[in-house]
Amino acid sequence: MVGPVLLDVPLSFMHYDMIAATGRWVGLDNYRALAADPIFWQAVAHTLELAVGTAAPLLTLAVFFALVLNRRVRGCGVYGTILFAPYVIPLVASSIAWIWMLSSNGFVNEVLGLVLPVHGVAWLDSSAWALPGIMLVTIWQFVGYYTVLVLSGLQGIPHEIEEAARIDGAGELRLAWSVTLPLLSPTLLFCLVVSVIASFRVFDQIYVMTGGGPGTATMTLVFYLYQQGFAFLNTGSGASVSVILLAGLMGVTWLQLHMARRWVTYQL
Amino acid sequence: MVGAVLSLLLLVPLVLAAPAAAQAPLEISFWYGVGGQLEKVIQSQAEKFNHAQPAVKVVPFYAGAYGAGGPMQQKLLASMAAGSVPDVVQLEIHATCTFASKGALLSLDELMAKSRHDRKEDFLQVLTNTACDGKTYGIPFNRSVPILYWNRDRFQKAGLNGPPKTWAELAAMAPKLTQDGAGGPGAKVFGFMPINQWWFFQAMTWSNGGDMLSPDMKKAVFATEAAAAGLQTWVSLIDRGYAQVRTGPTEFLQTIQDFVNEKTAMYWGSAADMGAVSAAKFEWRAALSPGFEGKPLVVPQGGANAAIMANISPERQKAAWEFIQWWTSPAEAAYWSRETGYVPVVKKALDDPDFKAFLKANPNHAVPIEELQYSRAAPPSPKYFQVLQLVQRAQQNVVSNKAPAFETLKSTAQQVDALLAAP
Repeated sequence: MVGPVLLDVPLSFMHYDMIAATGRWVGLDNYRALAADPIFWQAVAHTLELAVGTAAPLLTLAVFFALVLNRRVRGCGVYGTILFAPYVIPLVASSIAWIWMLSSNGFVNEVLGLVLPVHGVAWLDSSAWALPGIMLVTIWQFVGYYTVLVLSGLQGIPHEIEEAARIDGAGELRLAWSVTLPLLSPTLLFCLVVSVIASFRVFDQIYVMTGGGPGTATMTLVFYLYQQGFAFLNTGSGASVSVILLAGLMGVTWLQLHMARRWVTYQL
Repeated sequence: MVGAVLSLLLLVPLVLAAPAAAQAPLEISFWYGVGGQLEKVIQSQAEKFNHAQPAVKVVPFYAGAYGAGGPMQQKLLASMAAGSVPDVVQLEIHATCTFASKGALLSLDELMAKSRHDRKEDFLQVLTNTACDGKTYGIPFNRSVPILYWNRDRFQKAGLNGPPKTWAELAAMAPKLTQDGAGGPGAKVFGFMPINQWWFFQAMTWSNGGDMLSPDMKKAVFATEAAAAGLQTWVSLIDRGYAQVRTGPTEFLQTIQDFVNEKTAMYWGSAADMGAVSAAKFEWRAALSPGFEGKPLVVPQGGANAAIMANISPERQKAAWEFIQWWTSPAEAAYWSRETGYVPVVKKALDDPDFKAFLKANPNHAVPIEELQYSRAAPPSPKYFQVLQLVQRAQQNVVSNKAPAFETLKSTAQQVDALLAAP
């Protein structure tokens, strides 16, 4: 577990040939080459877009669905199961199904055509829509998982507190804003951190659906790393991307935890 | 006397053991990288080989798709790092030199010279991208060429006779074959669907008089109007609604399905698609790849070589060579071609009476064999398969992302130059 991480750092300072199994030290060359590669910066931007574009909708939807399910409406067990079902499907299988659903004459466009006056766009064949397509699959696949997490957080809120607030005259909105959400905030923080880390690691969907394309429209850091390391056989360059990715993730997570002091309530 | 009996008795286990030892076949592992129907043929062929002779037992193993930079090559790299390599590998042709130039593969020239039917003169024109720095490292295992598939029923309905021979003809026919989807987006039939991969870009560039790399393989030379012309033909058809491309790693399979499901009247694919295309419920035909008016057709070959790993024992190398020779024996080469659509790699396969009868009954299968004469090897640069990945990215930018063709090729050529100049 620790071994590969420790080996990765020196590898990122080398030109290493995997076939001949020989390498030589090149100092910061790999990092300099990355900084000069516009596609690397595209990958950084796409990774951040993907993080925002999946984590934000995932958390919003998860809170919404959890609030609905927590009301114990009729058939909430069935809804819960339907919502959670995608999570247990292998990601590769659902990605293949989504390729067809996102094609110009696919299911997504049929549905959109019913609601909006739009002509079907081939999502994955478009530099503008390919990344949103990847986001859509990711949200569909994982929304049930985060809903379950939020739901368990909701169910952990003691009824007495909510009842006390009601007796004190709090309305539903006031109750949600001043009692439920603050008490839910530790769960939300956990979901936020985990979903952002997961978005940085998105790979299967891109590998199966777009291969990073069209062009470089869905090139993320992880996919860039993969291409450098395995398609172009630039092992050192791949290693340096992974070091950057690790540092970036640690930075983002630290920032989230640091900011959390302002909005996460552990006690009312 | 007693002593003689005893010594005879002592000999019994030896006598029993000796043939047993001779019979225990040497097991060699064979990594292949094709799925579906092709995988079934490979497995049944390996079994046939194991039954045909007692000395060697081939154990076939699916190691992931063999495409350049694909899962199999990653596994192969891992196995080399771990020091436990397979014996025979189905290695993508453009990656053969990549591995050979680093000493990973066994040179086959001496073995070929002594072989019964794997001498260089025994092969059809398929000894392309088998060599590196003047030595041979791969035996053509599965070889295809790009060919055009067309729906004869739809051509007749549109009042068209034959397949297009040039891109200009194709561009003129595609509108007539396009059928607008009156019953929703699912009902539309396109005239043509290209597959936006480097293989086809090579064919169009070469056929229009261009080239990919300079003769010394140090410079990209595909940033020309001639090379851009083919992509521009596609883009123009797509923009006007007469063509469509699929995208992503499964675009090849998706396009074959589109043809079989009559979502397109023509598509430009591989000879190896023939097995899958034969699921179509209409009259379909294969034709030579389209070329450019007044210029000779030039196409690349695709597929894989059988290669023997260098770092295995001599007995294993010998056993691996036995298997490869069996695979390319005329009858087996003919069988493989018949079952898959890949070309039979040795000349004598064409003399096989069964195969002759088969070609007569299935003229579609004769098309790729005819096209072989127009095929040419890709530049044997160890970095060529990396070049191709950059080229494919450029193609996607042109066709899917609507970037201008010539300028995109120009900036890609600069990236390729940098790649080729790097140590």
